[in-house]
Amino acid sequence: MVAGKYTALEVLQALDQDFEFDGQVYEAEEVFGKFRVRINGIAGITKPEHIFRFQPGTEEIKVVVGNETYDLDLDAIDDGVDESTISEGAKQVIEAQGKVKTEEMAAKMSSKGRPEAESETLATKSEQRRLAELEAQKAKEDE
Amino acid sequence: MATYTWVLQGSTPTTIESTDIVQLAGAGGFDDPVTVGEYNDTTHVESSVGANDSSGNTPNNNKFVSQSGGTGGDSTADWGDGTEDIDAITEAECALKINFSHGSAVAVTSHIFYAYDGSTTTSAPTGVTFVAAEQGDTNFTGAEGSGSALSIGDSASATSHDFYILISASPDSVGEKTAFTLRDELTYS
Repeated sequence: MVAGKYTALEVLQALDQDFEFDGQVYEAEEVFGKFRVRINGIAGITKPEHIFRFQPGTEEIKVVVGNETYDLDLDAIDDGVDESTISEGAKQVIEAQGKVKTEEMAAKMSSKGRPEAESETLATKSEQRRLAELEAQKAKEDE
Repeated sequence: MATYTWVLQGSTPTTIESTDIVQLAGAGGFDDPVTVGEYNDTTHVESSVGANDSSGNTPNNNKFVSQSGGTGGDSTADWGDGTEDIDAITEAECALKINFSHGSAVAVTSHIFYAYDGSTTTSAPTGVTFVAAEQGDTNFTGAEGSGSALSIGDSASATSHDFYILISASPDSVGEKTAFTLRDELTYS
């Protein structure tokens, strides 16, 4: 793992182990809501899809599951790569959240009397106007 | 001690001081108006006395194009390369970078970002449609008033936390929009 956005489930899975409590073994996705999960200072994680971010420069994280603490090393971001990553699990959660945002936005724009399609049309008109201005300027320079 | 730093990113970053204005303007640049119903073509930092503090820094601009017109219903925007899905934007291409730092390593949670009227945090900015997204989001949030804020993901323990945000706005009517303030709230522990 490198610095970036992950789901809580992905972090627990990266520990690559099962979690044993009172003689019963639980897999990573089974502990949420049953046992305390704390990931590098973020407490109260109850859902596997909980997204959080490890800032660049973070090299080791501490994961608490129940009464046990685990250490997980983060790989340094490769040289020349400035961008921190967004995991596949995090992308799926973000995409689902995006659909909700779009529904909320549709309701908001409707109440303002500004349907989404209008903004696309106006953006095109803006681009057309700018293109006409550039062509007029070029014609003047060519004279 | 906790420190907040807001920056308008560009070829050279421009620090946004507490008394500065983030000016969302038209294609003509600083102080150029935006047509009603259209979105900003340029973004600038204006000082409290009206100077262009981001002059020469080629500041980034994120222009809203559509909420769901992109691939698989993604939002689209133009940040200088033409219309693209917003989840293609890199950290460096976002207009706003907010850094929260602390002498001790702390986690950041309950982090929200929104615009309001400058008086009541629950009230939308006046006469403006404002959208925002965190880098990596697939869709914009109509982040007007604290009840509709952009929710920014938790950031695990560190002494320095960087957050990259796209912002875009469109006037609903003619006239300068001054009842329009950006606000960032978070909990650190």
